[in-house]
Amino acid sequence: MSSSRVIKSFRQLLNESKEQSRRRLVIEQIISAMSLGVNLSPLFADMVKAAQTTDLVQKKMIYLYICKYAEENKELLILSTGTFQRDCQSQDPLVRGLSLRSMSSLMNKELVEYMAREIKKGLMDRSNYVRRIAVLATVKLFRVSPELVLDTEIEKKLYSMIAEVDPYVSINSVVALNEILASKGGISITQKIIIHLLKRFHEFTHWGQSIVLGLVANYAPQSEQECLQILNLLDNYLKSGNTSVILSVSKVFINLINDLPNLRNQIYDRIKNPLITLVSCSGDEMAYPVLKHIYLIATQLPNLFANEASRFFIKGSDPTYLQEIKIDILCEIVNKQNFKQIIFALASYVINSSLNEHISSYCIRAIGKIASQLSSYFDMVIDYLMEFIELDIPHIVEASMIILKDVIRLFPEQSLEIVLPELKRLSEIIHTEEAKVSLIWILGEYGEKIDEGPYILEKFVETFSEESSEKIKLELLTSVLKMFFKRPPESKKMLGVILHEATENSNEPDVIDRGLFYYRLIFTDINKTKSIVLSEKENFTRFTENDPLELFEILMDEFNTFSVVYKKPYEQFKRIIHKNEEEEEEEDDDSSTDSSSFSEEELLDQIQQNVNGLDINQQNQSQSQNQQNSQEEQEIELEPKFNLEPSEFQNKWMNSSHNLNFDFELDEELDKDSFEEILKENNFQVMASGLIQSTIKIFCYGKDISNNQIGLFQLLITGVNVKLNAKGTNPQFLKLFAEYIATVLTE
Amino acid sequence: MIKSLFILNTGGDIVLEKHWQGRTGRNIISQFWNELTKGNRTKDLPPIIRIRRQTLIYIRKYNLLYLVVADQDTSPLMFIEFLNRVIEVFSNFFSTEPTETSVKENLPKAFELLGEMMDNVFPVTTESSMLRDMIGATMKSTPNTIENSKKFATLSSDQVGGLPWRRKNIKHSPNEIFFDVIESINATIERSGKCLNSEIISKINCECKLSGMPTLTMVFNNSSILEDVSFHQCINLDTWERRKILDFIPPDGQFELLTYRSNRMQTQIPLYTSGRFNWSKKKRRGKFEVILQLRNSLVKSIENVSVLIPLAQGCSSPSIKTTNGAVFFNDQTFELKWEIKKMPKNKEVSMKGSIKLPSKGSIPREKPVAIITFSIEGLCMSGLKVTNLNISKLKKKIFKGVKFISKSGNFTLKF
Repeated sequence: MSSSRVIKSFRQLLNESKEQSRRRLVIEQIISAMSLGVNLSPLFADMVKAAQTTDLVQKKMIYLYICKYAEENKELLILSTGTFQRDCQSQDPLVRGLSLRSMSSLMNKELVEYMAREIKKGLMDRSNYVRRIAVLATVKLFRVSPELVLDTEIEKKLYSMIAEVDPYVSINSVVALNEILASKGGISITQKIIIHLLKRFHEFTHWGQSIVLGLVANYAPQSEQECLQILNLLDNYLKSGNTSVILSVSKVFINLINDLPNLRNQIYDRIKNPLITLVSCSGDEMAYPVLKHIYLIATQLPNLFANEASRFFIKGSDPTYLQEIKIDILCEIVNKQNFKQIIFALASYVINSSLNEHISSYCIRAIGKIASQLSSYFDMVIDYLMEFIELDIPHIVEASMIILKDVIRLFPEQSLEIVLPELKRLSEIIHTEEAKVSLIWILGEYGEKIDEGPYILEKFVETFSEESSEKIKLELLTSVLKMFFKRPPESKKMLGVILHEATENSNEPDVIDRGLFYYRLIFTDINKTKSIVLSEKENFTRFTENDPLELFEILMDEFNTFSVVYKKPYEQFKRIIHKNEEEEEEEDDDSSTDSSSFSEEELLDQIQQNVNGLDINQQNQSQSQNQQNSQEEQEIELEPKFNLEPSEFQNKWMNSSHNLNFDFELDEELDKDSFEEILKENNFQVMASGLIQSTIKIFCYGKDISNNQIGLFQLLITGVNVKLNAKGTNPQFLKLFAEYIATVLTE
Repeated sequence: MIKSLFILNTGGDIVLEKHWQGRTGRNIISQFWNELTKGNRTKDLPPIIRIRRQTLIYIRKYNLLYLVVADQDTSPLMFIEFLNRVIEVFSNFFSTEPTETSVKENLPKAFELLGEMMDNVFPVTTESSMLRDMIGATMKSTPNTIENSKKFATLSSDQVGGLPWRRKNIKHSPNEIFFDVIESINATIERSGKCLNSEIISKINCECKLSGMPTLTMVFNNSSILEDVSFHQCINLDTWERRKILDFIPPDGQFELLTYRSNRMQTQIPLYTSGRFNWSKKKRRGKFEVILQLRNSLVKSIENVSVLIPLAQGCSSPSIKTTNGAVFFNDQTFELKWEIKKMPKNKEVSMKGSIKLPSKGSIPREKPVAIITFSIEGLCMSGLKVTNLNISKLKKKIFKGVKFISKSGNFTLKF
């Protein structure tokens, strides 16, 4: 769409307005329109001209504009160098700084020579303010032309600037060096630098302190005495008003434990209270990452927080993400003393209807997990589970039965004593699918131990033909067969019935298959069948959902990073930028500037009136909202039932005009079935799939509803690496499609 | 670290976007918005999430949502802390809460501030007092030309030996400093009136208008109350460790001096509460009673006490009697609210009544809770007192004051 009239109007206003205060208003309007998403790029030459103003306010806004549209006006940019250079000579340090900062943000290869020259001058500037900016500008220069910074006098100069009196210059130099030298492992952390920075620690802003603490965490003190000195010096900063500083100090402390193992408990004790205070004194958003860290520490030292259990009790007003992490913490810190208190709290959340279903199921799982940790109390856990089941609330019964099954697998002998006599009653009160599956599994595995075992199963068999759940049918088939080998006289008849029903009267292919399979197995070799069906189970000691202990050790090394929040080592989620992705990001930018559709008339009115100083805010706001609402992004949406014959697919595959290769990485490995499932869920149709050695190969396709575009894909998946080959007729859409598949599979 | 900041309104439209490095496309915002609004549970999306292999961190305040796009290799706390500071700085510079309207009205100033607060993806300074030095020019209504502004030739933060939170050459007249000690009590009370657990979360806010570089010392009657404390950067931590007094050169303007958490209470909980609630199966109704009484002899009166009882869906037709105040029932949210403008001294007040359950459906399994809010001026529950406040290096007359407010935080009565 064209914004030519708006541009024209702005241009006219810029030319007409001579008075400074009026010009300021015009430029303010330009900035406002710019942030609405109106493309004002054609004004570039006019704005460069306007930059020669002596009014600092206007200058700041104009530079903001120039930085935004520099990319699209490369040829005109050279015009602005004169202004930038003149401003770098200004008497006013604010102007010098502004000019240097803006120029270095342009990221333009043509300008690097100018940039380098001005930055070098800036590093020597008499004003601290300008030197601070010049130091950070070296990083921006480095991003465009690394060779102009690396191993040059600039690098040396930066090292010497760490010693400058101005704390900002000092910290900025550390930040700059760390980034410039990232490929070499960052700034070289010598004892000299560490001592220097720690000595003047109190002069730095919180942000500067966090940077220094980051360095100290990676520093290996040379003696035990030095460790203790660092410990004592930083101890006070656990009272800092900045959470980031507190966590950074904690990280340094935890790292020091390796050198001072005998102080381990004391050190953790120092960290404990500040962390708890952070949770109670800050908002939900802040509490979340802090609780994630407490959880991590609790996995290492469960007893540290054992007396503080009540602090992690959940509140109805907590968002779900806080409730979950609090429950996780309770599971870790549970011990013999607080066991009753914690189990009681969890049980009360289960039945509390003001908490959502997800949380009540989450609590039931937590209770099961606790039973696996504190085996001596499993009977109490079973009591609670039985109580929940009697509540007859579907999601609670469901979760409780599953956990009951797991608890039985963990402690078969002891728990069966309690559960077996109740099985008959349970079979009468439960209705939901998963719960029934669990009950039938228990009956198949242990049902022979009670007299009525086979008869309870028989009840289920009687309604087999009416059963709509495939899962229940499959479980029932297996359980009846198991029972047959343990109590043949009572089960013979029901086995006959169920095999007949399964093979003759079922619609589900899997049920028919399993029925036939058992049928043939029994007729081939009954003794072998018995040994297969009743084979020894592996000893089950941990819930599968429990995390491997090594994970937490890795996470402790990555304390105070996102790894802790995601509960994944950095290696698993670090962002690998691919060529394709970068291109696509740029494409996003374009759409962001152009995609705004706005009513020219309204905007013109608004500009005119605002420049004249009239206040028409109310009206404008609703307008600007409309403008933004009407922005539409290109989104893929697939037709659910789109179908291609294999021959059509092959034909299209061979004859597609465009081809795109796109590689990406998954967060975690998946098997072939899960891939197919995910693709199907998102309305991709799978044409064929197979497994070649360890590489999964999938052919699939999809059709976008709104644009009628068909995309054909071949996926080659090895571990977490995915190679995508996409074919179609429109290259733009192929990109969107490819991106969409990547998004679908990575989430 | 922080690549881009987006500020969104309640409809998900972008109010402001600022990019410190490269440019993040707007597409990621619509994906984020989809995540956030999925299943109508906007409150439950964690504040730190990954979308398209990028990390997004957001917080909400005054109906705006602040979202940063980040690199993954740094402290997650830093981002949330930074966003909080952005909001604080905006409040100070806009002289009003940053809402959609005020951000749009102050757009150039907002860009200016963000440009100075962060350079090259790392926070530089977030202290309003320091920022005023660099944003100074915009604050004046008439444009000042660069030639005229001799002031900038000697940028005060340029001077060596400055503090990261206070610039030099500050002048005020009159000179004044005020402290608000605000203590919030979180408590769970049993139906009998017995307190199950309680905790006080407090902060001291300060508004400082003092000239020059004044040094303040503040002495407390019982500093052990401040055991779990976090301090503003201006407080000298060594002096605190050694002598348990606060020694500081304050920032200019409004700031939070410290926050503390305490389990001990010197006084009784100032408001006695008890009550009962029963669901009657036969009559399909709930009968309840709530009793409140002022308990603290130090308190003359409490104003604006309210009791909120969220009831089961479908409840209707409350029939209620109170000794004081008025009762409102919201038949959309099923919340019952009892408001008492002024609590009498030495006399208990009560609300008694019943509510109908819908004629069909099961009887609720558990009883509701009552959420109680109150605020009392002049009382300090932890017993903290400022015994001495000394201001040195300032000869002029200074107005100073400390005000105490005790209020309810998360204060619930379990029937």
